[in-house]
Amino acid sequence: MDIRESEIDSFALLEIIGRVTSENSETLKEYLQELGKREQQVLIDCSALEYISSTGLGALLILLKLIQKKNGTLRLFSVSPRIVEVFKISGFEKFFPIFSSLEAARRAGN
Amino acid sequence: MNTDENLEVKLPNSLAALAQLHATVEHFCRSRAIHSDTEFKIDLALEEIFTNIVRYGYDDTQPHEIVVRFKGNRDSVRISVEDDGRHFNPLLAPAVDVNAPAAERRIGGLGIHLVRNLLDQVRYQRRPTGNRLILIKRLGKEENEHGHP
Repeated sequence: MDIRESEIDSFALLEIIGRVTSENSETLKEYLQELGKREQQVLIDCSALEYISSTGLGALLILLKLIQKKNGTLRLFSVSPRIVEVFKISGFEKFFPIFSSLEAARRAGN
Repeated sequence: MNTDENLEVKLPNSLAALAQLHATVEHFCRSRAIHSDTEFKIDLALEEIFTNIVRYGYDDTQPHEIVVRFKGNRDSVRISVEDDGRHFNPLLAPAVDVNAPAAERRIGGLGIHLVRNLLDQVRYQRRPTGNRLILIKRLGKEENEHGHP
């Protein structure tokens, strides 16, 4: 797994790359906790996210809760159909707005 | 395709062994031309089970062995996971409320919820020396809809 961060407009743009497993999800969790404390508007690029298990979903949920407390925005985009299905099974598709592309995610609600 | 061939892997009770578990799933599925969507589901379900055993299955800090056996035919894949940890039936764990709002959601229990929903059948067997989970994934839906990868 790799994590890359940049900025676009007023958003922090995060890219999660590769496989998030229970072995490496702690790294993601620590990163997202720190991100959630300092940012209010976050977009997550999932185009290179191949796999995520429940501990990785837990890390995303922690970020979501931090952002929601600040009435901020968290949007995911370019999520593979397999991972969308995992979100649906988990009931997470109701909390995590998923967009088809970066363009769609950054323009949503504007 | 040799449908009678079984595959067995013995893993230490360490999350570092997840890479070997993943490699074994990949080898098993690809050697049988199982669709990559099905492989993804088996991979994820096995990780959740393995992780639960490693994290919560043992009362000591000794090394233990977790044995995973794969068997497949044209219609289904059958996987057994055996451990020598304390007796625990994950199928009796409280159900996850997937309709709860985000603020009330916790991650505990989500792993077994995924396992139940990604596979077609999950059975628990208590053994004198530990636990065995039998996992069944039917083949055909993805394979027929999309063809082999």
